[in-house]
Amino acid sequence: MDTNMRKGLLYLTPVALLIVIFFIVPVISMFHLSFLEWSPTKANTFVFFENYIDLFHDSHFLQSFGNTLLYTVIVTPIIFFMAFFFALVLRKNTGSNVVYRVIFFIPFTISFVAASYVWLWLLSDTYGILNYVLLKVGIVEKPFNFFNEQFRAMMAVSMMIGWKTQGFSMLLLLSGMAGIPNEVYESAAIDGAGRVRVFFRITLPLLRPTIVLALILSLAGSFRAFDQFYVMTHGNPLNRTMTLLMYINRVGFEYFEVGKSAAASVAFSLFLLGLSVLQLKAGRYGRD
Amino acid sequence: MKKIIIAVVLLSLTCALFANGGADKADSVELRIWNRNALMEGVVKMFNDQMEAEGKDVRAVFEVIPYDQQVPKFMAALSSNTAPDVYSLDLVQYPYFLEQDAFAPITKQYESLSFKDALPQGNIDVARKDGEVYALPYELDLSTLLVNMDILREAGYDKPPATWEEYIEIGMAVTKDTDGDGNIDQWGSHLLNSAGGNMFWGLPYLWGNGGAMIGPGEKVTYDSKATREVYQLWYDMVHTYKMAPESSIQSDFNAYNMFISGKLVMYHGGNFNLTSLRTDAPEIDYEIVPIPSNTGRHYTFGGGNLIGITSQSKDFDAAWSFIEYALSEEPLVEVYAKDYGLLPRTDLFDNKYYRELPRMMAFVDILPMAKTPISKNYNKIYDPLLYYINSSIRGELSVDEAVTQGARAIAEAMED
Repeated sequence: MDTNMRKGLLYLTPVALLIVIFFIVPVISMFHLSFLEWSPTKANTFVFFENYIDLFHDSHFLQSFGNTLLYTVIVTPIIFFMAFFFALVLRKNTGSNVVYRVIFFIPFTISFVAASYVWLWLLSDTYGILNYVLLKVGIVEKPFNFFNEQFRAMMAVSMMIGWKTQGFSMLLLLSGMAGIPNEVYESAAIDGAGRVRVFFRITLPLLRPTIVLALILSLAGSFRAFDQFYVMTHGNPLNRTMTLLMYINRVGFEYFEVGKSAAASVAFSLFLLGLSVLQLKAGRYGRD
Repeated sequence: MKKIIIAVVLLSLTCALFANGGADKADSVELRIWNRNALMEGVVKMFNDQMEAEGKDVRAVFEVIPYDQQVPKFMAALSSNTAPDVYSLDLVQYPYFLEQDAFAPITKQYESLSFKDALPQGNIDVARKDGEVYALPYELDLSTLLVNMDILREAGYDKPPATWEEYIEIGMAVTKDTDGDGNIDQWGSHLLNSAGGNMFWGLPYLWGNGGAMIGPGEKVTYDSKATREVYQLWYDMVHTYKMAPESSIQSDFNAYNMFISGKLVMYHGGNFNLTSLRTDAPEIDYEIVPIPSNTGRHYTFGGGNLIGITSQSKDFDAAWSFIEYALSEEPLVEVYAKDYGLLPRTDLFDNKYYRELPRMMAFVDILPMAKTPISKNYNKIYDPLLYYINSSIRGELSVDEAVTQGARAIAEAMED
């Protein structure tokens, strides 16, 4: 091993150590825990696949997985289309557009918990400002309840998340749009291409890698949903908005079934791993 | 020779230094105290001052544990052998941690207390196992009904409800559309919008109706006529008597805000609301009463914290000296009573701070009504119950179905 190689390895050591301590060891520990009946003070019992069998017989696990999928299906297009619309509208570098970009990006800097509480206050049917306005304008005859039905509650949370996170996707798409050479648009204009044709034949294909990246990020974020549901619905009505992470938290720290909670985390990780492979393939497709 | 002398001097100095350091280490005791209630910091400071004044080398260090973290943090600390010396933990969590041998017995110390009869026995029972006592009541939370008397008097009633019949009558009388826009903006009462809430305020309805969730020997006794009547009452409050909004079963329903803004007349609250009500709504004249009962016997959920010495404490005697001090008159009155916290010792209720707020004295009568469910599976019970209670209120399950299935869910949780 030459000196440069040794130096390089030396420089990498701190980061490698951090990754081992804070990522690899916990992941291995999670796998290990998932095969145990765990106790904080007594000897742990090796139970083979019992936690996994329990897990797949638990209707709440399957329900929370379904809820998370449903939420992802709802929220991902909301974030994407909002971001795409604003990116298209604000793509030109004018002074007012820069101000609007900042305004639309600001919600992204707020924490999920704070944003959830703000929206709870807005949407409440007993003291919410939105219902007050809807009633005064005469759009509804009685206060509209946003949280008493699964789809409505999912939509309410999704709208909040769309408002909060679209600014980041918008910036990604704007940077992607800025990367498209102007000459391409000029050539299209000379060839007589209209706006719609330019959008579908130039903007969209050249933006594909950025679109894939924006979708990957929002998809990964929505599968990890926790704070927004914990604050806004607490899994209600009737556990129909309980996400997978809420389930893992509940089983581990409320029911003290740490082994089963670890098994759910392993199953979830494997699912996300599979999803990541698909996403990577999609990303490669985007670059082709 | 010179080198030898220098070496000897250095060696002697090093030995002296280590010997001194070792002596310091052997004599000084640092106690780690955990509590979700930040008021404990004041007690810790007073304890440290007292220790210093007595010339004892004992020092307590306090860490406030957020409510949501009190179980995971303790589990992690126990598994890594870094548990605190003293922990004031939510009492419903004790059965599980006692089974895990997480606390040390303090029976002898408890028996020697001069004020032991002034401590609520129901709460102590939660921390009993195999004839030993493992923790003592420290912070108390009692479930009650807070009633806006201004609105009650306007409606022609001069006292809060005691029975279900009075509760319904008053609830219907005060529920109204005050601004004439066709929508109710003042509600008589409300339902309970969380799993914990259904236990804390919901169980006193059941106990007061002669029912119980769990009987002796952890036998599930939930599937009963008494439970059905309670479910029916809650259903009727929304659909028949229309005195409670259906949305009050949702987690976003903020009953406290509605109470302080006069939009809710009978609010399920407790002693923990008194401090904030003094600043949030000093103009409201309210009375504190037990949850209405159908049988004449009223109950309250005896919640709060129990304080105990963990089994991993390095110095049991010092840890007990902290608990003994924390339960003495000065810290309890000057820290907790000053903040209108409910004291665990009834013999200290007659203090200068409570005399300033006579409403506190209502708890003297309510405290003996306290009851606490004891089960290591408590946490597993309340989520399914929320599901069945809400299913019944939303009309998705009949009362019969909800109670039968709810009882089955409790039995399954108890079997684990």
